[in-house]
Amino acid sequence: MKSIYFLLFFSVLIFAANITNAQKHTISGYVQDMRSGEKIYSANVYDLRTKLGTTTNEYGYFSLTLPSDSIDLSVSFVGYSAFTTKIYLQSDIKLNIELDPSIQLAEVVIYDKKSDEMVKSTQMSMIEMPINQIKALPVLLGEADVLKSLQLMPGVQSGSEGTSGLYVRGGGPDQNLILLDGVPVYNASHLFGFFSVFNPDAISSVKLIKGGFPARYGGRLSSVIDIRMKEGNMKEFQGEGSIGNVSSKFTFEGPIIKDKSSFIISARRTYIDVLAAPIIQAINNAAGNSGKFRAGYYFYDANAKLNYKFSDKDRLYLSFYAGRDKAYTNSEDSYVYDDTTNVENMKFALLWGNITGALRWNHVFTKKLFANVTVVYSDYLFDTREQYIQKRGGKVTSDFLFDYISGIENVGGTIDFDYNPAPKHSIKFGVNYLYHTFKPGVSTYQITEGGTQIEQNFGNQNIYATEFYGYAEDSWDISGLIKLNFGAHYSGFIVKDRFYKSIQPRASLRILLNEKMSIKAAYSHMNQYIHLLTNSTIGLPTDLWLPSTDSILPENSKQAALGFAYNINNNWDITVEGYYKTMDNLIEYKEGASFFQLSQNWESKLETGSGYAYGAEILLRKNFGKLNGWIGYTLSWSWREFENINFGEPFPYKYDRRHDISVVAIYELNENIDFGLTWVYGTGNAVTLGVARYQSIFNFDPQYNDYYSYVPEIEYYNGRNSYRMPAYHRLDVSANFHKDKKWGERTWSVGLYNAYSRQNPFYLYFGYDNNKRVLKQISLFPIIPSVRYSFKF
Amino acid sequence: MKKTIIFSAIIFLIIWGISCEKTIEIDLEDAKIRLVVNAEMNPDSTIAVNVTRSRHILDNAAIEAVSNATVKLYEDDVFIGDLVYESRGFYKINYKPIIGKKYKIEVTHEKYDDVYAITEIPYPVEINKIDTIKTFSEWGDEIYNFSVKITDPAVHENYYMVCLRNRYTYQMWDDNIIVYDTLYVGPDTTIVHIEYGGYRSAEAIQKLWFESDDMIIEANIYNNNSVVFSDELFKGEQYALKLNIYRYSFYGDTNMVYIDLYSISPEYYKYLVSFRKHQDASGDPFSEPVMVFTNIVDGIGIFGAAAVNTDSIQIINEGGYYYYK
Repeated sequence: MKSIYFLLFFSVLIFAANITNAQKHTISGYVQDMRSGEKIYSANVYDLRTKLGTTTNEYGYFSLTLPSDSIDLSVSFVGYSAFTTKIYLQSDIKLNIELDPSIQLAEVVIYDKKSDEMVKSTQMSMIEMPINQIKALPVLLGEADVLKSLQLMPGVQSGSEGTSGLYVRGGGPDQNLILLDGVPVYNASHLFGFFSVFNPDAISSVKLIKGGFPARYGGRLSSVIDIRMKEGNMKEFQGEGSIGNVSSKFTFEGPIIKDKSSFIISARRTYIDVLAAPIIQAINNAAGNSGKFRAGYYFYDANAKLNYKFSDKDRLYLSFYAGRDKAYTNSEDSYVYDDTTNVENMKFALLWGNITGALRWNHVFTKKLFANVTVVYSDYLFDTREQYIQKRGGKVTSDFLFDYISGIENVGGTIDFDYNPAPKHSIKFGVNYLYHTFKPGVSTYQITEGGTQIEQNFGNQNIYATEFYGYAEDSWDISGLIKLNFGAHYSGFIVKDRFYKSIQPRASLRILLNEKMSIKAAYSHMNQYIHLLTNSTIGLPTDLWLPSTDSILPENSKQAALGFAYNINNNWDITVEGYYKTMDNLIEYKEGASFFQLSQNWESKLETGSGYAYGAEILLRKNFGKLNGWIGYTLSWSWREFENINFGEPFPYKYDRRHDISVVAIYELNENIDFGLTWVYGTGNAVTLGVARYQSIFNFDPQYNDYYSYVPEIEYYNGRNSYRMPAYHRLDVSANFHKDKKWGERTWSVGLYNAYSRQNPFYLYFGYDNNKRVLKQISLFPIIPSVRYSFKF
Repeated sequence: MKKTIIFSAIIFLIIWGISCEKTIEIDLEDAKIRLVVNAEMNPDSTIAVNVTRSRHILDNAAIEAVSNATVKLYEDDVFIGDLVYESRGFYKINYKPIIGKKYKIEVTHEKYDDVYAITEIPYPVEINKIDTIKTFSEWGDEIYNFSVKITDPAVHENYYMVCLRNRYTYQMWDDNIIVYDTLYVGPDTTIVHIEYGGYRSAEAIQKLWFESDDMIIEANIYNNNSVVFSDELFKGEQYALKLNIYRYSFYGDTNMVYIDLYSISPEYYKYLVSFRKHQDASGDPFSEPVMVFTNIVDGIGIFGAAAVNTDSIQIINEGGYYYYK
C-alpha cells in the first residue's frame, strides 16, 4: 500500500511541475574550470532580474527554465571570477560556461559564495569545504586529512585523540554514509584510525550533510559525506607531489585527447617501515639474536580516474581507489643439527584495506532531463595471518598457517535523473541497487606435516543481502520568499528470506526574511540496514559491518532541525541551528562482551536499544580577506537507552559532548607566506569510572565465620558513562612558504600539532603511586612538529 | 588467542610509543560510603548476613566489617528477630528459612543510610537423570561428559546454579600410626624396624572443577566453581545440561560426584551473571565496564536465596582408568 502512495506522490510531483510550464525556455549546459576543464559542482547559475536560479549538479550540469525575456545571467563559484552575460531568451539555449580561477587568493581562498547560497538554499545543516582550505589547515604530522578537517565544524565531533572518526549530531561513526565518487566506503581509516583513506591531492570537493537530508540520500542515520575525485586536467599536463614526515605522495593529470578526454593518477605511501628496517635488525642483533628479523607497518593508497567526453550529451567516467594497511613481523632462525641446516620461520601479518571502482555515464536526454548511470564495486578486507614454517635441509617439514578473514563486498548500480521542468521546480529522482556480501569472520587452520595437509575452516558464514531504494524530490520555489524541498525515499533490504522496507519522508523549508536573512526548517527520516560492530575507542580494522537479521532490526532515525542563516556582509556570515534526533534499533555489545570474543554467533553478543540527541550549533565564518576562517560552537546532548545495559536506565553516549568549540584562522601575510591556526576545545569524553569498592559474596563461609581464601572485590559505578574525563583542548599552528620556480612552484610547510603540549586524556585507569591508589591518565600526542616539502608543475 | 595477543601488542606498542602518563585529581560527586550487605540464604542453613562498608575508590585500606549495626529479619512481613553480631561482619540468627517464604532484612547503623532487601526462597528442582560418556580432548585428555536431565517447572521463571562436589578416598599420612617391621630373627636377636607415621585410607569432599559450553549457560562463575543459567530456552520442558570434567580433576581412588542443582532467586542470578561480566570487563580497555547488580535498597551487595537438590554418581579408578558405577 505504501508503494502506491509513493507512486501517487511522485506523479503529483511531476504534474505540479508541468502545469506551470508555459511560455518558457531553457538554458542548459556545463560549468567548468577554464584552465583544467574540470567540471564545477555546486556552482550558482542565477538570473539577476527574476532572482530565479539553480546550482550545477555533481557533474557540473545545470538546466534553468525562465520566462521568455531578456535575462542577466550570473554564474559564480568559490574562488572563481563570476561570469555574467545578458541574453534575450526566445528559444532554448545550450551554454557551456568556463569560469576563470585567476582571482584565487593564493592557496587559502575560503568559502566565497557571493550569491548567498547559504542564505537562499533550502538545504540546511550542510558544510562544503574547499580542498585548498583542507590542505591549508595545520594537522597531525603534516598529513592533510579530509575527515579531520570536517571535525572542526559544529555538529561534528571527533572521537578519540587524533583519530578520524566522525560523530555527527550524537550519532556513531557507522552512521555516516561516506561516498567516494558515489561508492560507499567502509572503514575509511588508515593506521588504526589516525588517518583517513582519502588523499586530498586526488579530491576535488567535500560536502557533509548533517540533517535535512534530501531524498536522494539514504542508508545511514546521521550524515552523508560526499567526496568527489578530481577528473583530470583536460587542457594540459600537471603534476604535484610532496614529501613529509609520514608519507610521500604524487599526483599526475592531463589530457589524453585535449578537451575530450583526461586522466588523473595519484598515490601515496608511508615509509617508516623502510627507514626503520635496518634499525630493527640492529636492535635484534644487539639483543643477541643471530637470526633475521623484520617488522614494520605501512599504508598506501592510489586513486585513478579517466573520463571521456563523447559529445556534449554523453560523458563517461571510470574511477578507481585502492588502499592497504599492513603491519607485519617476520623472523627466521637457522641452526645446524646432524650436518643438516634447520630453518624456523615465523611470520605474522595484519592487513586491511578498501578497493572501490565506479563506472559512470552522464547523458543529457533533453535540455531539462539529465541522467547519470553509475555501476559501483567496493570491497573491504581485513586479514590476520600467522604462519610457522620449519625446514630441514631446504625441505619443508612442517607448515602451520592460521588465517582470519572478514570484510564486506558490494556491487551495484544507480540511475539518477535531474529534471528541471519549470523555473520554480527542480526535480530529482532515481533508483539504486546494491548487492552486499558480508563476511563476518572465517578462520582457517592449515597444517602441513610430512607431506599431508589438513585444512579446517570455522567461523561465521557469509551473508548475502540485497539493498535497493528509489527516491523523488522536488525543490519548489513557492514564492520568491518561500522555497521547499520535499520528497520521499523508499528503501528495501532482503536478507535470508527476510524483507525489510521503509518509506522515509523528507522536507526542507526556507523562508527568506530579506536578501540577507533566512529561516530554515527540516525534517528527515532515515533508515540503516547495516550495522557496525565495534567497542573500541579507536577505529580498528576489526570493526565489523553486519546486516540486519531476524533479531537485529534495521536502525532508523527521525531528525527535526530549525535554523537561521544571516549573511552579515559579503564577507561574514553566521548560521545558528538547533536539532532533535531520535534513533531506534541501535546496537551495542552485550555487557562484558568484547570484539575478541567474536569468533562465532555474533548476534547473541548484541543488545539493541535506542538513542536521542539534541543540541544547538553556531557557525560564524569570515569568508575571505587576508585573515579568514571561522568559529564554531556546539552545545549538545546525546543519550542511549538499552534494556539490558545500565539496568535499563538512559546513559550518556561515550561522545556526548556538552561544549565543543573550534577556532580556525588562516592569515595570508603576502603571496609567499601564509599561516594557519586551529584551536579546539571539547568537554571530556564520558567514561564509566569506579567511585567505590566493596566486597563480593564469594569465598567466605558464614558457617565457619571466616574467609578461607581471597575475597574478590567489586568496583561500584554510578552508571555507565557517568564520569567526565578532563576537558580536551589543543592548539595547532602551521606556516606555508611558497616560491615560484622555473619548473613550477614549491612549498615548505612546517607545523606544530598540540603547540602548547596539552596532555589530553586518552584513557584513564586506577594505578599506584608510592603504594597510594591514584587515578592515572594516558595521553597520546604531546607537541609534534611536522615538515613537508610540496611541489607543483 | 595468540593473534589477539599479538594484535593487542601492536596497538599498545603504537600507543605506548607516543603516549605519556600522569596522575590526575579525581572529583567524584557520589563517592558516598554505603553499607554492603551480602547473604545467601538456603533452607538447609541458619541465616547469616555479612555487613561491611564500601570504600572510596582510592582508599587502599582492607575491607572493614561493620560491627555495631542492627539487623532485623522478617518472614512474610512478620518480625522474626534481630541477628546477632559474631565476627568479621557476620550477623547470625538460629533460624532456617523456609521454601516459598519471603524474607526481608533491614540493616541500620548510625553512620550510614538505612538499607533493606527482600528475597524469596525458591523451590528446589529435582534432577531426573544423569548420563555419562567418556571422550578425549584434542590433546588426548580423558573427559567425562555428564548429561544432567532436569525438568523445569512451568509456573515461574526459574534460575539455576549448578556446582559439582567430589567425595573421594585417598591415602592420608597419619603420624599416630606405628609400623613394625621385623627385619631379622636370629637365635638370640630380633631386629625390628619401627616407623612412626603411615598412610591410612581417608575420605574428603571437595568442589570439583568442571567446564560447560552448553548453550543455556549464561555465566561460568569461577569464584565458586559453578555455572548459572535461566529457563529462558526450555521453559516448562526437560533439558539435558552438558557438563565436562577432565580426568585430572579427580583425586584419589573412588570418587563420588555430587551434582548440586540450586534453584536461585532472580536477584541472585542477576548478581552472579553481572559479577562475571564485571570481572571479564575489568582491565580490558576494549570492553565497557559492567555494573554488578544489587538488590540492597540504598546500599550495595546481594541478598540472595537458593534451594538445592543433589544427585550423585560414582566413578571408580581401576587400573589407572575410571569407570562409572
